[in-house]
Amino acid sequence: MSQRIGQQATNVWIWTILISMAAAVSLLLIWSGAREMATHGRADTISIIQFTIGVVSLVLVVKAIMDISRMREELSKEKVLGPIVTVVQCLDCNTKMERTFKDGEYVGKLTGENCRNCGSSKVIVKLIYTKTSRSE
Amino acid sequence: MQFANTQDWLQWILFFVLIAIFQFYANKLQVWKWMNDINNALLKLERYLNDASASFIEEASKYNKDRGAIEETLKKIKGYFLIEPVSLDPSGILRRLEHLLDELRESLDAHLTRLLPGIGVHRRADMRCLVEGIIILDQIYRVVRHYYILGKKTQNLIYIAQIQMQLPEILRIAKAYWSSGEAFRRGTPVGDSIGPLVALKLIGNSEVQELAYGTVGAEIEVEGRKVMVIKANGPGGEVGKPGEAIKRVIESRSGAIHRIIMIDAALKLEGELSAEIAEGVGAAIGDPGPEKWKIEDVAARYGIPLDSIVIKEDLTDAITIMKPEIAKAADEVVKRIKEAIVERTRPGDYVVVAGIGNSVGVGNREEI
Repeated sequence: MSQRIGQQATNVWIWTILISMAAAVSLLLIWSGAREMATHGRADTISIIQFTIGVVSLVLVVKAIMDISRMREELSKEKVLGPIVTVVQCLDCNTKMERTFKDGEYVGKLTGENCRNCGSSKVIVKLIYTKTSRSE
Repeated sequence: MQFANTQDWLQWILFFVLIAIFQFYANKLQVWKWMNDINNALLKLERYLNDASASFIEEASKYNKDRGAIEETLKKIKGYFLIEPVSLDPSGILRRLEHLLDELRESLDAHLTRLLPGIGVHRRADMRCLVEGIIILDQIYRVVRHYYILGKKTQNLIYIAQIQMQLPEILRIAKAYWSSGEAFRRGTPVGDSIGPLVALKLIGNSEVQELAYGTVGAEIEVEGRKVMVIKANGPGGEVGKPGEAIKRVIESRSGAIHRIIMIDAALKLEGELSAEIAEGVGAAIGDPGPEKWKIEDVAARYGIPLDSIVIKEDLTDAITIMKPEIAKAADEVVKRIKEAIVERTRPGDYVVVAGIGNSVGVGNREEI
């Protein structure tokens, strides 16, 4: 694994150098094309090619940077897990309450707690779910 | 087109040299990029596998202080496989497959019982699910690594391309199994538990009895109809043998069953809403085959109508901690089952309702 991590670090460096070079070349081509057009007062074939290649390359560079940052963002989001909640219900007064899940609980379990509303001990677990919905 | 000076010539030469380089080395660059993608995916898969293994070891340490023994057993179990029965002679293939699946489950249970003395049946079932997830992650990791090394050795574009193009799907599946570990470690319901959850809501506090391996049932009454509600034995991570249970109930009544209604989670298509409820006909069960076959066979033999209600979810939803929209769909499903019973059967009829799925975090009855 350490070999592949090393390779990944090398790849990051290669990508950074390549992207920087591509950005520099793109800017140079745009500048060169624009200067030629301004000097001659007209757009000849070479300056148009230079300018176009420069703009296209710059767009690709921006896209590559955006892709990489999006990938990093996705990786950092991966570990986020919403809180797990337990919905308990009193079977005497039907009061429902939502609270943090406790290990060992399951749906249908008699919690052993007393109802906050009527004091009854008939409080069971009705639902257990995570707060994070798919849309998030 | 005229060339005014040397700079123009140089620019044209540079242009053609670049074209020539891309002509001959485009494939090499493409391969380099794909290999880089596979390498990154492998790192991610390795992280999923190590994380899931660490989670298992941490949980197992609560029952056995010998960390070395846990690691050794996990190493042994990781490579577990099932050789599917020969299909050249299809006769009896489902019976043979069922036998092998039973053997696999019993073998994993035996390992876990030896490793984790004093663990209860339900916790052992949770741990088995945790281990099954690790086995799948390990298998995915090995296959991707195989193609990565093969591609590196041979520089064969086909080997590299086929694995690179499947990476998004492979990673999605791996991530789902990695995320599922948390649910089985903590014993909370997963998306697939919606079937047993609906069954529990119907059972209420009625007494349950064991009908088949890992499967329980309770008889309740709905508007003058007797209803046998079947679910996997909870609250452990058990799917049981609902097909065997349904078959036994029907045969014990010599086929005098007026309708079977099955409830299960179904994989949704992209674009469909999560927790969408759909109704149809047929055996709603996603087992490898034996249980589904038993239900279809017995229903066809006695001419019993077979209805299904499914709750749409994607793979990640199905095997990770239950999402709120899925949990809240249970009440609507219960309502639809009662409507179906009232509309499609008559008072005095006998109906079988089976809540299919993993019963992790879902008890068998309301304990009052």
